[in-house]
Amino acid sequence: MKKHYILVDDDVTNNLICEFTIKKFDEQAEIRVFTNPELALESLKGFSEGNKPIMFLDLNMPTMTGWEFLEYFNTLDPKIKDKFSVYILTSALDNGDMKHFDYPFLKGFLSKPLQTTYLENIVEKG
Amino acid sequence: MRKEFNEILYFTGGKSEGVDLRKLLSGKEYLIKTQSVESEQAMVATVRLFEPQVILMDYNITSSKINIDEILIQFKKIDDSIPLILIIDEEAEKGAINLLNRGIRSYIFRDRPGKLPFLIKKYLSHDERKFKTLVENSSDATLILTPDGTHSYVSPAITTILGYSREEVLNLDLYELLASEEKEKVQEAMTVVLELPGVTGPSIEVCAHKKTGELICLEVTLTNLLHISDIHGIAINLRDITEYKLAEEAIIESEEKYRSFFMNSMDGVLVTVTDGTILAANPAACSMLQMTEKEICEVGRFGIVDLNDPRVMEAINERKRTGRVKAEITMKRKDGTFFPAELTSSVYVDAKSRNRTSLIIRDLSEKSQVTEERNFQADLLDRIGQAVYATDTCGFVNYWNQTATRIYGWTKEEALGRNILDFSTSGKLKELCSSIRDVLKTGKNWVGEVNAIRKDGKEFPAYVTETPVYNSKGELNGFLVISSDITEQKKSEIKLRELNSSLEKYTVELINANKGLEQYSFIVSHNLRAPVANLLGLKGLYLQKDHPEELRQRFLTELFENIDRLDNIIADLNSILKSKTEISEKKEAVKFQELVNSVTESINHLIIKEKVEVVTDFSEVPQWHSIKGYLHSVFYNLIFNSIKYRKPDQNPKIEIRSWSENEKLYLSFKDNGLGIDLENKKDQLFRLYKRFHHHVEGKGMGLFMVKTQVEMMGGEISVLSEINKGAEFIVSFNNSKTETEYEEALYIGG
Repeated sequence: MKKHYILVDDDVTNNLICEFTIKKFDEQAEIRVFTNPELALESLKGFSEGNKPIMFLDLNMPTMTGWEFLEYFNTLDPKIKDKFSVYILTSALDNGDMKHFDYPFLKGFLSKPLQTTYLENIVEKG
Repeated sequence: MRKEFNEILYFTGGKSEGVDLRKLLSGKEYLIKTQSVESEQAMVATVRLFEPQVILMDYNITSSKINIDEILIQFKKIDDSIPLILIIDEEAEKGAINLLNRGIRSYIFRDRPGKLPFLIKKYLSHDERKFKTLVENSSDATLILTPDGTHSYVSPAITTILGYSREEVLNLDLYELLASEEKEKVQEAMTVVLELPGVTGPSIEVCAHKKTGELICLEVTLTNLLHISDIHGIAINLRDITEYKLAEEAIIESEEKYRSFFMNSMDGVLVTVTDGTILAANPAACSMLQMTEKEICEVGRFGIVDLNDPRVMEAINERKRTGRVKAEITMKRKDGTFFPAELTSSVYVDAKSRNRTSLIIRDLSEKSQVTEERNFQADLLDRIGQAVYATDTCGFVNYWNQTATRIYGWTKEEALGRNILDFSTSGKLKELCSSIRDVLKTGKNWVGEVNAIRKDGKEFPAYVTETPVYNSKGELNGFLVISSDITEQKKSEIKLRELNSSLEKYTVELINANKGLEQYSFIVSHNLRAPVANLLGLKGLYLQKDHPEELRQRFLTELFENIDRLDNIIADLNSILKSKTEISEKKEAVKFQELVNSVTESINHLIIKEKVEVVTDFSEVPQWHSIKGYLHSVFYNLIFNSIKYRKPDQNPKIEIRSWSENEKLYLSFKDNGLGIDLENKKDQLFRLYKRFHHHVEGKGMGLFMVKTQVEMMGGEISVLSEINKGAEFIVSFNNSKTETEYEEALYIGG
């Protein structure tokens, strides 16, 4: 079964790095990229593909922060949002604020750039 | 009693010839009843019925049926006051003499009756005259109360005592004259007396009303004389004892007064004899000497004084010489301890012409204790750390403690007797002092700070409490002032206030500075690290040799782009930091219109291309004293933003105006552009690298720079906007800020 990955980040370089890193880890992976978080939310409303999709979410985006994104995301139908495993992927080196956002679908905090070791850990955890 | 006739009952004997009384007792004044005797019972019945004033009895009546002794006993029972005259034959004289002791008043011989009228007259008139003289001239009133409740006799004294005439009293119920609570008392006495014929009851004292209504005190004596036929009533004797009672009360009162003085005097009082004997001692003397009155009387004069005190004999001699003495001597208590006392003694002669002396002792040890206590209090006031002084109602100083001397510089001698207004205050203060005094006169305290003046003319701030002082009668006596020099407190208070206001200022600035630091930390961790993270990621991808060459070339391109990005961010940071250090720039008068012209010229091509309309109104506040570079940047960014976020279908229009309100300068930049969703974005609006529109190029740096620079100049920026309804940015500066504060703010802010 194909693994689904969703990237939400305005930084195209980062999205490029992610795509190639994921493909390197799992050639079969289906990857969707959103540079506009508003569009990502709109399109996820009707998301039905795959089992346990994994989302990498940037925090520092000009029109909407990653936290704001999560707030909106949390308002989606539980049937959709609870399928996701969301990982924050940020250029920051610490995860200071994270404990304030206790969403069941929020699984972890990762420091850019994405590396295959992260993906191995994520898949191991399931 | 007041019968019209003198009734005479004559018991004749049956056998012998009677005396012809009608012949003997001629005239209308006699009513003679002659009765021949048959039995003792008949005789008694006749007497009872007839009630005679004189009884004549023939000795011959004595028979087997009639025993004369028995008759006399019976008669005595009826009324022993009725004179009984016996008519005898000469040979019976012996027996008659025997009877004289048993009720017979007199006897006559039958053959010589001529003595009879004289005897009868004597018996009848003698008693009445005596009675009249006694009763009618007595100051006591006598009344006779008959069993039917009427008065059969009232003596003239009743008029003196009760004010009613005799005739009025006859028709009066005497009970009604008694004070209500007394009636019962009289009733009781009456009941007792009625039981005991011939007995005079004990005297009772009652209060009664005179005819005038005046209350008098009466002594009432009741005598049961019902059995005496002439009276047949209760004799009431009334004596007016009002005067006596009053005198008695006065005596008791006067005695009480002296007694109470003696018993309650605070001074010891002794009644003595000149030879040193003590007759009486009052409780105060007993308590001073710690002895009972009896003990004092026993030990005498020399038992209560210190014999070693030469003043004792001096005082005795003085009194001997002059009859009186006042001296201070040492006295001795029962336990042998001594105490100082003031002694007053004088010789007098008592009611029985005996020499007596009075001795008044005043214990001085308590007085000296009071003096000591006062000295102690005065000493305390001297040692207290505040100036304490007192004045009379006009402000003349009558007390001045040591601290007052220290604080005000005037010695006690200099201050006493001088008016406080004249030497501790100056012109303006005098008015204040008078108004303070007016407050004090209403009985309230005055507490406050004044500028006082020292002797050397120096003024100093003083904290003063002024209190009105009253004497024991509650009259205003003067004022008490407690004052302390608060120069040092004042200095530190001012310093503290300064520190406090600086602290508030620094706190605000530190908070701002801290916010700035937080933002830098965010910029460094996110914005600066983002291209670095990309470089790291691209390096990893590039080093993987299995990627096709074109792809690796793309990685390289991305790598170079991110190097440029990194450089740009560092350049941005540099310009922000630079703007913060450029504050040393000189402030100058900046004309707003010139600024607008300069900005529109620099972006002239854009203005023309987008058909931008800039409307200005700086008529109210045309210029501002500030840093030109900052203001230029603020104007540039806000105008540029308005054009950048224009509505695609509408020519951009920007209205800029200035005004002043509540000592603040306001600048407004209002456009007709896209507007901002403030509800969700307000707190992010002025943050670095934040953007609100995807279609427009921008780093998200403009508003961040505007806010930073406005704050650098000590101002604030706010925004009013709705989506699609344009936006209005309002910049405000505090007009009242002083040059130094402004520069300090810049210094700390930098």
